[in-house]
Amino acid sequence: MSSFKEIALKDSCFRAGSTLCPGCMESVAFQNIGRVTDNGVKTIFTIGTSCAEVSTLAFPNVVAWGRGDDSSDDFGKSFSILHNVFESAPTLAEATRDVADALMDCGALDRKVQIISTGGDGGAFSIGLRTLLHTIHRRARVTIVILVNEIFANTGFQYSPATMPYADTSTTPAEGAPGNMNPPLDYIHLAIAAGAGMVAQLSPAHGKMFVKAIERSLEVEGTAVIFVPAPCISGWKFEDGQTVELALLGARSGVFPAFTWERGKGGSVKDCSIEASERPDVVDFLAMQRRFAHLVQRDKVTGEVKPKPGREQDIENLKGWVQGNVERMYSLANLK
Amino acid sequence: MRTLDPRQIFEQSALEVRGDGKAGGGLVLAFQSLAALFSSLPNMHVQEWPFFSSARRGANIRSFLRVSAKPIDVGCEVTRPVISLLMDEVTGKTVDFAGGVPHGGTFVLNTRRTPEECAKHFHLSGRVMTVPGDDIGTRYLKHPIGNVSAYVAMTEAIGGLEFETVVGTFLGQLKKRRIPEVLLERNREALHATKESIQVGVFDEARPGDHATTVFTGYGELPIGAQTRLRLSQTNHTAAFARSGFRLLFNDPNKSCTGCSHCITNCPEGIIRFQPDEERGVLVTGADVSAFCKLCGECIAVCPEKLFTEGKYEEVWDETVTEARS
Ligand SMILES: Cc1ncc(C[n+]2csc(CCOP(=O)(O)OP(=O)(O)O)c2C)c(N)n1
Ligand code: SF4
Ligand SMILES: [Mg+2]
Repeated sequence: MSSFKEIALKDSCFRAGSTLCPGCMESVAFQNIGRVTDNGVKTIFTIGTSCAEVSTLAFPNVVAWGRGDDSSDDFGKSFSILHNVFESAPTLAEATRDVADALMDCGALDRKVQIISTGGDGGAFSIGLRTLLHTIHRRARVTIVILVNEIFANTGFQYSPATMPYADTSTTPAEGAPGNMNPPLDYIHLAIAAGAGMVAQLSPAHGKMFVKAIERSLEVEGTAVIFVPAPCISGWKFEDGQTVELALLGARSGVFPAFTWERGKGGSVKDCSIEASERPDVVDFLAMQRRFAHLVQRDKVTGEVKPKPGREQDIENLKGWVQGNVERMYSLANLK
Repeated sequence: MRTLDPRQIFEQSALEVRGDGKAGGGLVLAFQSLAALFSSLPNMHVQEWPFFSSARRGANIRSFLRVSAKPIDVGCEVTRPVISLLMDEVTGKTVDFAGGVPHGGTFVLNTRRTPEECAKHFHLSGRVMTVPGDDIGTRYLKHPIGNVSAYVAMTEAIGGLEFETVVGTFLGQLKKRRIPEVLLERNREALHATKESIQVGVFDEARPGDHATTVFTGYGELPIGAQTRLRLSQTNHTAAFARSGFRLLFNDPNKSCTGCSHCITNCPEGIIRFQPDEERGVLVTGADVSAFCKLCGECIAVCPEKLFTEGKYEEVWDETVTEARS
């Protein structure tokens, strides 16, 4: 395993000039995955439709992928991208693994390859849940990275099965209604239950843990699934420069706790106490985003965050959901 | 010089209008409001649509508008607008906002500069109107957003419109977007404050061949894989996505960088510059600001030593550059 600083010095295969929003967490995730995969092993990516694909790969936009300026003779530095749609990313990765294994078996390929599938939460949990679970269940030796920004961002911020309660999205508007009322899909449990070899929920804001998890995911038996909470500046509607802060606050307050788990070993929740009193208050997380502007407001003088009049019960409900979420993560960590 | 009267044009055929700006800069709202304004007049035919790719906040976008007293029977993009709006000076660096505008047309610019400066810089022949929309936005809306003023300037460019209707239509569009009441009030103030700030002048600065409409005739003979090579991201200078008028600064005279690497791993663009360092592991030396920095501010937020800051940045209009381009 490389140290965090060693990783920071690596040559990412994701480069500048993409058309993603300024401060997009999907971009940060790709930068770091690009660095970790500069490990001397050829990488094959299968990228499902999402902001991260449309803004870095799809015509007529630019291609923001490449390592160095020359075409590389160095097999270990090279990488490929298989362009496809949402639900196909995991199954295409699985198929690629099968082909690579077959080529290795017959001696046509003499060096190993690593395979990473990426996509958004809408692609993974709405459009492609079936193929996601299928690939995990087949124990394909691939890493599946799911960028969870809790919405269909690319098409205009519609609700996804990962949207947290009360969020204002374009299909669960907080106008005459409280926002999203559907409890999110328990995707971490689903991945474990489907047979994943490794499951993690980490964003690059947890720098060391994130790169370690990606590194580890390339080695484990079976399918590794990494859910990356990805604050979306345009969909969550927050100020510039708060992406990392929100990713940390969301994790620490219990909305999407940092979590790692391996089959046979169990797992752990990091940086997020099971005791609500020891965690940052979730209202601070809400107050930074305009998708919760109907729930809370910040006192201009004291800076204190309070429920909007009439919203006290909603806040209590939301806190209850967060507590349940944290407890659920702790109990998932005990699975073997 | 004879200038073209927009009102006469839409009486006879379609008045064609075009706007250039950045995604997220309010161009679409300004054009939608113009469209709503004309739709509210009796017997008017209106066509309006924005044009953008999936490129996001900060990328160049265009808006089109056609207004006519007679039915409009074309639907293609506007290539010879009689009124052309430049919403953001930075956009003017990569897009010829005056492209195809006939001699004597109207140029509306959201800028602090004077009509004369603009006419000289962009080589404009016709009526030039400027409005410091970002400043008005900052003053009334606490945000350097110039679309409120650009909209008013556009209505002045067309002329003959009832100011109360102009104001009411814009506020109506904001209401549709669920903007809270307090903000509506501030927008009303900004709309009213704009009128006195508009400057107008007539200039003849275009040289032969300036702003000619270019016709795409294909890429010519291409080698295999050229399609991809033509649009590699290194040529996509996303620094233009950054908020206009500001730039990222790095200052570390005492080498206080601890080498924590947080800026490196949290930069969405991967443009932090660094060198290996014996003591710290890594020493950060800056960032590739002029080409790719979108000014998202993450490095500013994560650096424990506060070595990154955001500074005001005024584009120097170097006339030799424009000469070279045209
Ligand atoms: C087959 C198909 N259906 C629908 C679309 C439209 N579409 C493109 S991206 C997208 C949203 C994807 O959301 P998510 O997977 O969460 O990714 P995000 O944009 O949030 O990163 C949709 C619906 C499409 N491109 N192809
Ligand atoms: S809309 Fe959200 S997910 Fe998409 S590029 Fe912008 S910040 Fe990223
Ligand atoms: Mg999504």
